[in-house]
Amino acid sequence: MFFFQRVWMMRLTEPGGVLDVTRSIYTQINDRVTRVSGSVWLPMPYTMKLEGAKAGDFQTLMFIGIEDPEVLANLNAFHDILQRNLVSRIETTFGSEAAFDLSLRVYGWNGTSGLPVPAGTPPPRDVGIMCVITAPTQELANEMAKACNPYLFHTPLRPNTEMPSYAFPFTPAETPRGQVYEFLLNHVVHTQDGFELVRTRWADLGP
Amino acid sequence: MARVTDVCRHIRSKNAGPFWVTIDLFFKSEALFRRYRDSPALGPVVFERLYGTDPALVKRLPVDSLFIIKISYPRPHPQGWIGERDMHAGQQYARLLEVELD
Repeated sequence: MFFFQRVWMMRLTEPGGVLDVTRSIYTQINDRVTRVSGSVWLPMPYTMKLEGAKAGDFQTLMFIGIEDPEVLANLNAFHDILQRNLVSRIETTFGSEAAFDLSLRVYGWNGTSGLPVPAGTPPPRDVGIMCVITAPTQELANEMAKACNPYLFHTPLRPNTEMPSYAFPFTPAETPRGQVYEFLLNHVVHTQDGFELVRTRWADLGP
Repeated sequence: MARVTDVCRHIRSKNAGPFWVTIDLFFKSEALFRRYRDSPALGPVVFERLYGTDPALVKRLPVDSLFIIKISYPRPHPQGWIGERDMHAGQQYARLLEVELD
């Protein structure tokens, strides 16, 4: 476990010391057991880690599925058309000064990374597009999603063609997701001992 | 032309605290590990290109006894920002698989 989820694992900082595993020896005993020896504990002044997240704006989600082959063969272009269409809808309805963020993630194409897809990549058979709207209040994010709903549902790949309808999996299509929490604090605090910053309340559960 | 996916038996990525991502490369053999241990093809510039991270902060730790290279880099945005797509960074290794080593 020295490796997992650690930036650097040769000197493991813990409250009250550092575990130095630079010279540790890992010996395989059998298929399931490894013996670790040679680790050194170096006592240090007591510290505690302080991490904190900031409560930020609010999000509302919508989701559509698409199997139309023409859209699937032109997903990059379709993403950009839809993005422009929805952003312009919000600005028209709520004013060009409205604070919001609108993000479209095309799952089945590049939803996980959001990175450009290499030219010549064959089209998928089906994609899901998640629309994430972020605004200063939940009500506003919900209202923006409602205003975008018909545009997400009906935006065609080419202008002046028959209006398509994509696949909403739910109705109502908008799902309030709540507040965004983004990590903000990352500090080391020097304390006299492990209980200095901790409040303890005793409850007597005896008869 | 060897790619990362050709020379490793296992590759994984994960959040290491809310501000860092760490990637572990488990090489298929000692010979392959030695060959790429210090390869510039896995250098900080590659991590800047793939992940938009500051190349000066990328940390690389080869472990000679285990044939592993650990590479850690700061996330361009903290975990959970409004544009988050991979909260626990579990899929970040994927874009490393096709990197050509020599």
